[in-house]
Amino acid sequence: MHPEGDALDPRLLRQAQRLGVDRLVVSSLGRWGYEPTHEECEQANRDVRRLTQQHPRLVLGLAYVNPCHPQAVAEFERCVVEWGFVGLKLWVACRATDDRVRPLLAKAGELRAPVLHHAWHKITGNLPHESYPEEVARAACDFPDVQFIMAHIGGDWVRGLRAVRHQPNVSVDTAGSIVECGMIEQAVAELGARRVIFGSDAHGADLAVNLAKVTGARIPVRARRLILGGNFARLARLRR
Amino acid sequence: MTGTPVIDVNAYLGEWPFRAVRRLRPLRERTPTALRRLLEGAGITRALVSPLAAIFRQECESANAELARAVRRLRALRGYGEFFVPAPALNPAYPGWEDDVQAALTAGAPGVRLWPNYHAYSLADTAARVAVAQAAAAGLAILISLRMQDERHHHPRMMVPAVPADEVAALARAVPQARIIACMARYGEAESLLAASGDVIPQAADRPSPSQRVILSKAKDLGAAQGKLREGSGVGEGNVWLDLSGVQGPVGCVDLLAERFGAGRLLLGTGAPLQYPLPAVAKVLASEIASDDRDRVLGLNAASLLTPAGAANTDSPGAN
Repeated sequence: MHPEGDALDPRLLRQAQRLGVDRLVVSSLGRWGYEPTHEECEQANRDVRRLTQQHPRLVLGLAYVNPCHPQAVAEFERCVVEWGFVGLKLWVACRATDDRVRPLLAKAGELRAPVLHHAWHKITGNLPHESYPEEVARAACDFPDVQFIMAHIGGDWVRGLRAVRHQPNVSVDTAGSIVECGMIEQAVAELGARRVIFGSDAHGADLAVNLAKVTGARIPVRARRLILGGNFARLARLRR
Repeated sequence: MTGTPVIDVNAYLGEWPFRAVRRLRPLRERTPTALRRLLEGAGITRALVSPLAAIFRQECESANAELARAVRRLRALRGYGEFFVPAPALNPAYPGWEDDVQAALTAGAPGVRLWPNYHAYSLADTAARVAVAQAAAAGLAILISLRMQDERHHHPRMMVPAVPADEVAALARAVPQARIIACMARYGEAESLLAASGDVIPQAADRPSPSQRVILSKAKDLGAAQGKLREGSGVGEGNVWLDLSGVQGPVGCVDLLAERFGAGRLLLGTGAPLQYPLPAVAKVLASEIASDDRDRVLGLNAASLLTPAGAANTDSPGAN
């Protein structure tokens, strides 16, 4: 999920408490520019650090960087090593297969930090540097020791699942505005429950809506538990 | 929720060719029985259903007849009662739509559904306005689907743009006697639609919508501009209701819409079987609106609004 600035919407906090969501994995996309400056990324990460300090039992941070800037690797490392962030978030500044992403992926492997990577296949046209699910799969193939989480099941989830199904180090997150019937069941059937991870995309999307996609899906209880927490805890090596 | 009707105003029967709905496989399960099981699993007690086949046939008569037969057959079964309520399709751009209005009345439908984008006409067309006025005069509510599926995921050779929200608002103003239910609007569309078509609640009226802000910012005489906005938007008439099936955010979206427009304007809708039904119910149950408002959104608003044609009440039920 992505907060605005260094504050969580009180509605979100109350909703999380009521719904029993006890961890929020947060990355800030700053001012939501598609090609943020390095300084904007640094500010976004400082905002998330403040949230982890304000809500130490609730919030886990992901470092957000723009791979086009040479300082990105150092910023990522600082967030993980000094601030205790649990992974990396990459959005739409650069394609997953771009050479400038490779040092970050190498660092993710070294730090054993999962990479949450945005991907979408939009028939209406992607942003200039927005990754397609196939590109996430290709990057994951090149870095088999890095655990990728492809956001939104790739948007068009039928296509997204096909693109990553044979790449065992790619999981998918369920976050976003798409609530199409069968998407969770299909993800579990194609990838196995261990590669599906609950996400909300709050504040932009509603937490209750996204949670209900998983709780209402016709999947085994054990699969639901993995999706709702077990899988991310395993990838991020969280102490439960 | 005990005892409160939970009414889905946006469900469908039939096949959607662009997705295999895994939950409704195999073929024998893609039936009204499977849909009912799906909806009941989310706590829904009644569903307004429209025939998906009507989207793909320009004439709606055959799809509506199939829908009527299916609903009649189910009602004859023990335990089915009136779980499914038909909302037949209407295509004002196709000859003979008057017969479809008549057939809807005969079938006891409380409303008809329009797909202006799939049937390729504008709500500003005279034919559309005449048909809507005629259906409304007969006591039928008018359901308008703004979209069926996220536009980003359409078939590359079958991309269908959403119905513009401002066309729906303009239709509501042009045919004030029509009770219009806008289905599958996104949050931003919902805001502009409701703001443009009535009943912004007094304490929120000082916070204009983005589009209103643009108008107001350009106005020299602010008071006159505000008056004009209210006049032009038909504030007070309040003949548009919003099905929530397309609103998936932001956090607390139901609270935000209820605060601004009143819970009386909001209706539960799922988009099933294309969409999961539980998120639709969950966003209402997880909201912080008063419990009586919650009951209204879940079903009481729809129950008042969707009276069988002929017994229609044009008051705005529960409108704040």
